[in-house]
Amino acid sequence: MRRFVVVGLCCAGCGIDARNLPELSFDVDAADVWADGSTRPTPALAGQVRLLVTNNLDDTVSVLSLDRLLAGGAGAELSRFVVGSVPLEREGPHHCAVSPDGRFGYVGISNFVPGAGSGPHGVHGSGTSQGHALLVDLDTERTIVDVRVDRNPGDVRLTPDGTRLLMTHFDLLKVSEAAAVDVDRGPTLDARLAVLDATTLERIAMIDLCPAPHGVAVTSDSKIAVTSCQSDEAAVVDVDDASVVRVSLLDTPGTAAAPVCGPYAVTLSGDQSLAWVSCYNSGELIGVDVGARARSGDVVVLPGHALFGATAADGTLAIAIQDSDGVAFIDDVFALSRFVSLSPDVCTLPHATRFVDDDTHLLVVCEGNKRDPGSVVVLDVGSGVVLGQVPVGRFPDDLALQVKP
Amino acid sequence: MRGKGAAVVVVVVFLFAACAPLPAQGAGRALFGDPRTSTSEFNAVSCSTCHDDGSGDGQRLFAGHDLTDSVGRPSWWGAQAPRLKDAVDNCLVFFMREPAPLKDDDPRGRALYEYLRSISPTTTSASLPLTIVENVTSLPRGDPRRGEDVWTRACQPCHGAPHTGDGRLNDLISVVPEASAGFAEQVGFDVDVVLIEKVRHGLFFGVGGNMPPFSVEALSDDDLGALVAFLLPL
Repeated sequence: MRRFVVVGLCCAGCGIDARNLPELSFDVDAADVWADGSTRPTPALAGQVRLLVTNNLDDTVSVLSLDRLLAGGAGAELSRFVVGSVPLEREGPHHCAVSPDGRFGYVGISNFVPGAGSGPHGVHGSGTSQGHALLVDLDTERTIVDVRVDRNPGDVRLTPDGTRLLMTHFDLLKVSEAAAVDVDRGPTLDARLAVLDATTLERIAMIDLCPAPHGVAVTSDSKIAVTSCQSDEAAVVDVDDASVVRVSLLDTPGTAAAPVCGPYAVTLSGDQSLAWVSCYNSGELIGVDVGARARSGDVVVLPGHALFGATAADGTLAIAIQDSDGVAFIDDVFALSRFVSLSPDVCTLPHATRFVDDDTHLLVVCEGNKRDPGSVVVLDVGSGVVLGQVPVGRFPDDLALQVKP
Repeated sequence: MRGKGAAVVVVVVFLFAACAPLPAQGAGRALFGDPRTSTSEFNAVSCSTCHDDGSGDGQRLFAGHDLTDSVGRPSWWGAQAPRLKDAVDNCLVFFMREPAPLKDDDPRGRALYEYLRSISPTTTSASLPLTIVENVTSLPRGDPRRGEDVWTRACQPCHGAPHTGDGRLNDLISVVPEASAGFAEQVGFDVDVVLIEKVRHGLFFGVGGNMPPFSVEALSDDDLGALVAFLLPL
């Protein structure tokens, strides 16, 4: 009370000018100010492996402990941090990547969250706003760089050398806008591939690509990227010179507005000679010869909608399958060797996979019903048995490994 | 003579007190109610415009939560602000027109923090819900007398009198409901939906301006329906 009296006297006598404050005496040291009730992240230690999972409908990213996941999942979610720049609007974090040193995360902000805001001022979350690329300091879980990209960011991948961030733009609006005026092909449908400096997120190139490119995979030499294109095509991109070769995936392709395959994701083969394009519509994997920049003729028919996959060191592919909800394993002779079905109480709508632990385990990101939390499931690759699961946020859609060397 | 000496001592003590560093907690309390905490010359609101600090009479309907025990919460803004400073910065930038978040060592922030700490005797408290109505629709109209009470407790402190704006905080604050009616005419929406959108979304969701949104916790649909009935009689 005495303090307030003194301040009161001062305010009365000389007044506090909020814009030119007098000298203040603080009880809380500058280093401790704002040290409040919020949980501070615990940075990963050298040798620790964590996972980032983007929760599309929560505007959050889950940070998971791999060790705890492999031990069954209990306590595996170490933290969940918020991303996006407008606190009360859902902005749709969509896919993520982690720098090779495990220090930084990359998150795409899609601004595509249907049903996330409407009124006389318009419909929000419809993908009509520009997207963002975020660079997150994973030690503090704070966004340190936020740049605009084109609308509707799709996949987010770092080149393996860690120097460039590639971001597709799954701009289906452009396709539907063109269709509304009876245009079903041509450059007006094409969206761009953003090539950003991984340290600053400055634009290195914005490459005109194809209609609604989504999944992207990059060869280990960081030179070639392959993306899916909604027009029943794949695009093979020379990352250095920005040259693009588009490859039709079918003898009789559909259009971007009505694709037959519905290309959605790309997974490289073990030797990286092939890029497998996942067809959401037809449930096929269609091979693209990366070197020849042409269809390879390899096709694997899968038991449902094909989404994102992963490749083990021995060449085995594990592709997330929706509709029949499970994981399709494809062997190194390009045949469906096994389908592991996932029960709804464990996993609804598998979206992406990742081999871990010397390829003995597979992590599966499961979207869930989009009202309740989704999950990350651990499969024993050998037996196909589910070893554990952990709930994450709503509509998780990607995971990235954070490995602290 | 002794009287003169005593007077000199009082003046010296007063001057000393006036010139000595001021306790930040008290300065923070002053800043809490001072629109000049923002450097924007166009700002007319302060923290106390939207938040009770435990000193109110309970009559106001604030857009923001009571800040008593706010420091010990694990998150703010419906879990969208993981640090208290994020929450303070959100208010300053979105509602008080401050051009950028405060630096961590900004004395205004430090003083506000010390004041908030002083009204947070409970060191650990729960997060408070903040339910935003994302998709706006028309609401059943309620009792206009109840709506008038809502206006007085929630809207009038900023907007002044309905229809004239008499007593509003500054000329940049809209005259209600005329501003909503004008926009409704432009976009071809019913004015009640425009009004409801403004209350529920504030400046967010592309609406613009500097008004905070009223969450479901801050204002019920029944109260909002009554407000519509008061402002827009059939």
